[in-house]
Amino acid sequence: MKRLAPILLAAALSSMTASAQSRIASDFEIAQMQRQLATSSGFVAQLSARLNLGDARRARSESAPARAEYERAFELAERERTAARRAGALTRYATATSYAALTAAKLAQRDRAFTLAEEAIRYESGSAKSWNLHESVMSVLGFPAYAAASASNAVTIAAADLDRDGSLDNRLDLVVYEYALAGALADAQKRDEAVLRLRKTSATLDGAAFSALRRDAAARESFEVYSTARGNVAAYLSLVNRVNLRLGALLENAGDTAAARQSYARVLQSRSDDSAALAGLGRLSGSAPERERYFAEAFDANPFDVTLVREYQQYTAKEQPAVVDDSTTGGKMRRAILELSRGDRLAAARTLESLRSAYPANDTITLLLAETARTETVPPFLTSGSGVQPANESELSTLIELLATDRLSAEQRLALDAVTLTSDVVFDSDRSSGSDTTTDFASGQVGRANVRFAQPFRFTGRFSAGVPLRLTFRVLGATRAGDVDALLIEPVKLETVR
Amino acid sequence: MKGLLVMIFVLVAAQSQAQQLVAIGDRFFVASPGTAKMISRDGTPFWTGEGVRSPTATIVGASRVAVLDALRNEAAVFDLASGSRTLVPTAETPIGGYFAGNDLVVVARDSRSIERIGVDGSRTAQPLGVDPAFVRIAGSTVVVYSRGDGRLQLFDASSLRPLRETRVAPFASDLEIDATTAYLTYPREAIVRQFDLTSLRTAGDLRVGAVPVDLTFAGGQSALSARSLAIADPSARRIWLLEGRQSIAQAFTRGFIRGLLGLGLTSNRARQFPSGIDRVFSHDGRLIAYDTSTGTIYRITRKKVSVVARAIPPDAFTMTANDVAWLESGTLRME
Repeated sequence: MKRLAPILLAAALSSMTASAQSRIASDFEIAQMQRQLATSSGFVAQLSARLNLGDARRARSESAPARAEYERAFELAERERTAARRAGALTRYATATSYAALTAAKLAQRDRAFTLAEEAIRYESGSAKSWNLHESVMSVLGFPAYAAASASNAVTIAAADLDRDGSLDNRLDLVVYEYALAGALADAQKRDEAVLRLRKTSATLDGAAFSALRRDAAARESFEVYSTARGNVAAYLSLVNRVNLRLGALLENAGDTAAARQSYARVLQSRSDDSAALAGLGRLSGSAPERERYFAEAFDANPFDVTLVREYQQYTAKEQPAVVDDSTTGGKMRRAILELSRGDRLAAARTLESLRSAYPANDTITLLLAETARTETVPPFLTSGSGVQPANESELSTLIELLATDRLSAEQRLALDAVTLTSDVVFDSDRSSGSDTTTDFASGQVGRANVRFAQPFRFTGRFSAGVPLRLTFRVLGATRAGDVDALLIEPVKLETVR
Repeated sequence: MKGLLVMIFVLVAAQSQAQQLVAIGDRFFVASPGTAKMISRDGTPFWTGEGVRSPTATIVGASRVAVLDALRNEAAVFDLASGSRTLVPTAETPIGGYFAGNDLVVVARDSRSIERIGVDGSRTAQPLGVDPAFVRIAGSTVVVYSRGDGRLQLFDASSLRPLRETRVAPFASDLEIDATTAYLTYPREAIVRQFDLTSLRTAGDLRVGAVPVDLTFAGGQSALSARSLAIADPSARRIWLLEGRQSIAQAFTRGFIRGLLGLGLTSNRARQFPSGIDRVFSHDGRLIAYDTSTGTIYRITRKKVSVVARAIPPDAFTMTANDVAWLESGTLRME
């Protein structure tokens, strides 16, 4: 049975064969995993297939099918836990419990995931793999500091394991854990340390210790990238992909364009159709034709990545390509986005409806179709921006969309800078305050419009999450809250609603 | 020392529902996501307050009780009588602690620290090893074991002044102490190790069963008078029982398993624990066992094993002077 390499967190699962006309990247991985489900009966094979399928579906914005895969994975893990306990096989039980924790995290069952992760560690606190899974759970749940601590434990234990036994398996495991630690550090805003670790990890992967794996990968013409990799070659390729993508993103954010381009290019050496790397090169391109070419390739690789869609919307708000080759699915998506940006909503809707017939469960298509249907009423505070004005859910939703797609005019931006808004916000209780005289909040909703602060803000007074509070604020821009767009705001005052 | 810790409860939540139930005298403290309350045996509330979002452990003192949220690094501290509440931030990942007088002392796993948080907000902290997982009190001394590097550290429980420390084997699954000795279970090696708390020297290893994961002192009023050491072994589906304090020492000295008495307690012990038990608890000579995988609570006597309740989350039950109490769909039950 193939060794199940330590789990790699997929920040974005990219995909496939560039030559496919109507297939997109993750089609191949999905087909492989479905084949694995049909032909392999063992727990590890079944679980990794379900997790990979869930991640692939989620990367394509197919949230309902993704959830269904995760639920099946959870049932599998729970059955394995029970079977292992009845057999008195505690290592097997601990492993199954760790995987149950991970699937619970992917299903956003926070408390259950945490408690299962802690239960697994009881039995296997000396296992780097257990800490790696613990880190994965904490990362998925959105606790980066916690994840970094778990990842650090995994690295410490794996380094000791490698000292005792310098096998390829142990060497690869250590690199996986180093990558996970770097990712957690980046999420915890320790970017410099994350970049250092990723650079070191990338150099290690390109080094002599893994030359045999590189030859093996080339001989098999392997290219698949999985979040749960089985076998050393698959793990190696997935690592090269993830490490360099993450490094590229960090370097790009830091403004080191040349180094970022190098990292993205390294990804494309082993996977020529990685949409995230292609999009990165597109963002960093110096010319419009080159940028359009990279976007075209990125869309062909993964047409439904919401982040890519938003980036292309921002790009087409400023520059519009003369011609879009719409013979591929990716091309059709680009055409729809272009039509939308030109205000030709009817044409965009027709293009998207034709795609929906082929991809009926796709959330990105649904999202864009909703944008074609929206009759845009510019919020009044964008035309008469001054003083303090109320803003309701619909107005804020429209504002978010306008900001996310970079469609505000210069005059509207000036008005937005000058105005202060008030809305009734229901805050998430992500973190309570340090005393009974202050309250910390980080994010919330005005109806279905998401709002968040750049960092948790401490208000004077005791307030409760989950109930409407009157917030006075200024708008800083648009951002992402998980998988959805949100308004980035700066608070001015918070009151209870009378 | 007057005013120092009366009881420690360090319960790390292990199942889906984040609920904590602790018996305090003839009352019960219940912490659910977002709320905390003190209730009587018939469920009548004495007070209710705002808790933490994910209760993961409870700490009981002479006049206060604290519920920890390991995900959000905070503790809600309540006055036992009035229910008045203070919310305090903690260091990263609080996993347990105790009260030193009215001050809360918290072990924070990922900060690798033990910190005393004064009522006036003052703080004192000491560094710990890698992955500090267990904190226990012996008189005026607090003992902390770090799984990652095997550091066994002793501090003055009031001032947190370091007293002594040593390195023992890492990756133990439980620590229990009596007045003079620390016991650590090692599931992978199937060993229980014993250390003298004064000299911190090893006092012997004992091979126990297949996978010993949890232990408790049983059969006496306190650890000092304990007649037995009970060890949960989910792989062998047994509770191993070392009887008699002198026998515990002798068993360790002999270092082999035949010194154990009451193996599994009944002849059909495997059937009684169909999926094993992994936790054991004792109170005034009574012993209960728990299977985390199914949420089953077992009452154990020398003559029989009986099921008390099923599908109960691990922190949602407690032992009282006479009963076992648990929460079932939010209702307090006792037997």
